[in-house]
Amino acid sequence: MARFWMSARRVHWAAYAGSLLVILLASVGAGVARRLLGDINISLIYLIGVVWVATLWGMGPALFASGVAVLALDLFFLDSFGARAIAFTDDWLTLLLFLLMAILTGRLASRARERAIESRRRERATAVLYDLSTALLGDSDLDAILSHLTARVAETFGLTACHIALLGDDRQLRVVAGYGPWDMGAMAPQTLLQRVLREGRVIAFRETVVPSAEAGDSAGSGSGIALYLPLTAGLADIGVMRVARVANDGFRPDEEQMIATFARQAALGIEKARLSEQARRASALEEADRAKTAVLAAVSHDLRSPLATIKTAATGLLNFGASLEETQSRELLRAIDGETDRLTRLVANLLDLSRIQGGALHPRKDWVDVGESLQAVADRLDGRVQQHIEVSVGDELLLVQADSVRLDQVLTNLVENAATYAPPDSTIYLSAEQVDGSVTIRVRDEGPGIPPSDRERVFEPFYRGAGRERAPGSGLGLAICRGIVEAHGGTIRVEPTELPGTCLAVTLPGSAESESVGKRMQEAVS
Amino acid sequence: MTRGARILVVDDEPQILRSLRTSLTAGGYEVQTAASGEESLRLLEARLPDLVLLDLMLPGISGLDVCRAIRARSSVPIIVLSARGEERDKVAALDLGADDYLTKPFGIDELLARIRAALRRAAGIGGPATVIDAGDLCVDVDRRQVTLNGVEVKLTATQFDLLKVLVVNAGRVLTHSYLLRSVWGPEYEHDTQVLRVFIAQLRRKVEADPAHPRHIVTESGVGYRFRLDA
Repeated sequence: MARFWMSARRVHWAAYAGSLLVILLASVGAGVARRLLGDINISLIYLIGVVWVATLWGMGPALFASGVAVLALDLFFLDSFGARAIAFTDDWLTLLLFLLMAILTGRLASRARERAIESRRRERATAVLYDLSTALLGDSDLDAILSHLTARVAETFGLTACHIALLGDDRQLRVVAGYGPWDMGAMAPQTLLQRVLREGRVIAFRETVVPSAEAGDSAGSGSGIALYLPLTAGLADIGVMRVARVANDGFRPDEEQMIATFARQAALGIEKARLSEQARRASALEEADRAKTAVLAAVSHDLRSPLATIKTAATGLLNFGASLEETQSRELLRAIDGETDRLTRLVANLLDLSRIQGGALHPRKDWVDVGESLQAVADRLDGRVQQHIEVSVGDELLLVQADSVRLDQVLTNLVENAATYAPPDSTIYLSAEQVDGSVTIRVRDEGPGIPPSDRERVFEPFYRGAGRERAPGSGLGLAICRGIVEAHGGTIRVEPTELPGTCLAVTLPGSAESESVGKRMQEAVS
Repeated sequence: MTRGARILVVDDEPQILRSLRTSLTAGGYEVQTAASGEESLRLLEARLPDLVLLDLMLPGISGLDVCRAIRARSSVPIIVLSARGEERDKVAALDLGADDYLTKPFGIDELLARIRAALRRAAGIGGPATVIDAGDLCVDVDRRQVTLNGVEVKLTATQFDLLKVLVVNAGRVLTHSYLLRSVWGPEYEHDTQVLRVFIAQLRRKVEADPAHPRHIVTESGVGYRFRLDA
């Protein structure tokens, strides 16, 4: 602001100098006119000069020009006719006329100029306001909007500082965005800000306003006017906006009004942003709630059905054990045995899932021979699934740092998953290869495959592909696999394949050590 | 066996104790039960069981402490019972001298098989069995000779030492660190990579089908076990 004053003053001096020049020009013009046209009233030519000055620079320079013009008239022309006595009264009359003209024209011109400035400012303010509304309507981040807003308001109104403090849940006001300095000094801003909100009106203060750095050091810190505007939307208090400017005179009423409009707009925008944030959070909660309900539904069904079978079989044996035939009672016992296994698996899966989700799964890493793990899983499941299992690993020993029990669990899950969807008597292929130190294990089946849109979703807990809702299993297997693999720093994904069926690929990171040591060992032994 | 072996079952779960007692009695064993580590140590002195079934999750003194205390005074076979996800405890118990482990929940058939194997081993301990016959595989410990289907197998010194530790402890689960300590020395205790490589080498030489090992069996996350009756 101080800079504005400085430049204003410079403009002033230039205007007076200009006035002098204009009158000089008028004198030359008058001289030429008199030479060419004889004895005409040259004061009219000076009048043109005065009016011109008035329209250009306003009343001050115009008054100055009037004085100079009368003096020049006196000096250059009247004197030469030797009619000084007569001219004396004439002189005063001319001066009076010039002054009157200067005042009238200057008034008119300065009003027109002010109007032009005003309309330019309004135009700019409207542009900023429009800008602000657009920014607030967009769903970008509230903090970013507010800091943008404060900067733009400060720029538009030539402010030293513009700050916004918002009311928190604890009814405390906190500054969330600001442009320029705010020297709180000995003030208790909280009390003041609360008062602004309580009274619900604009409060103006004269306070020490440290000008922003770019004002230059010539300005120094000066006292200025700070306005505190309450931000309210409807009946709700939102916060307080503070604008400050280093100046002796405060804000003009129209400026204040314009800033108040900004404040209202900002308040509405903040309110809107907050509401949409709340809506977003609510829908996220709702989503989580729905997921939880789905989990509960899935789990309670999966838990209850084996329990029901066990209860029925056990009570059947208790009541009719003696009268049942050997085969009948064995059937009931087998049902109990099988359902117990199912429950065991489910409970283990649920525990694993909660460990994974709680970040409590810590793999106990050790060197694992991947080929051996694949073979072990294949041997174990060979008789239990209806498909053939084919293992292909090279002769090379593939060692990775992994938790062997967890790796076994992942592989078992993948093979069982494949077996669930692939047709009986088809083949499930297990393979492993080492590329750039990391080991990739692939489990490929000849089942119906997974559509590309589902390739990520299959790793969500309880997710079952379309048309697979009734498939056995809890829908936890792949989610657990992903959790375990990621806990190892690896990746698991559904790999697009040219061949029919599904290919799941697990990549475990190798360590620089593994290769070199492996090689050294092999050399040493062979 | 004229009288059934005496088995001490240590578990704090009454239902498990009841069903184990029923099943083991039906299997021809004499069963004592203890619901705590303290009680089990008292019974160990008083009744001299032939085998201890020990749950690792116990109130009061822990299963591991009980395991250590039993080993301090007796060489009675110990089979530890543990829940899934307690691999660490399992390995610790095996390192403290337990002979075998079972993960809950388990089938009685599996338990009976483990008990039979442990008792048989215990009965054979101290015997001068220096030639171990495992069907297709035959290991003569003293003469450092190994034959597979009657054909002699050439092993390096370290490979033979590893095989020897496995066969003389046939049936027992040997932890990684136990094998490394016994064959390579205590300073190699954590060098499991070496062990992986040697096991792979050994399998290629002594297993009829190295991809499907029948003698040197992996106990995932724990160690290896040599099976005679493959």
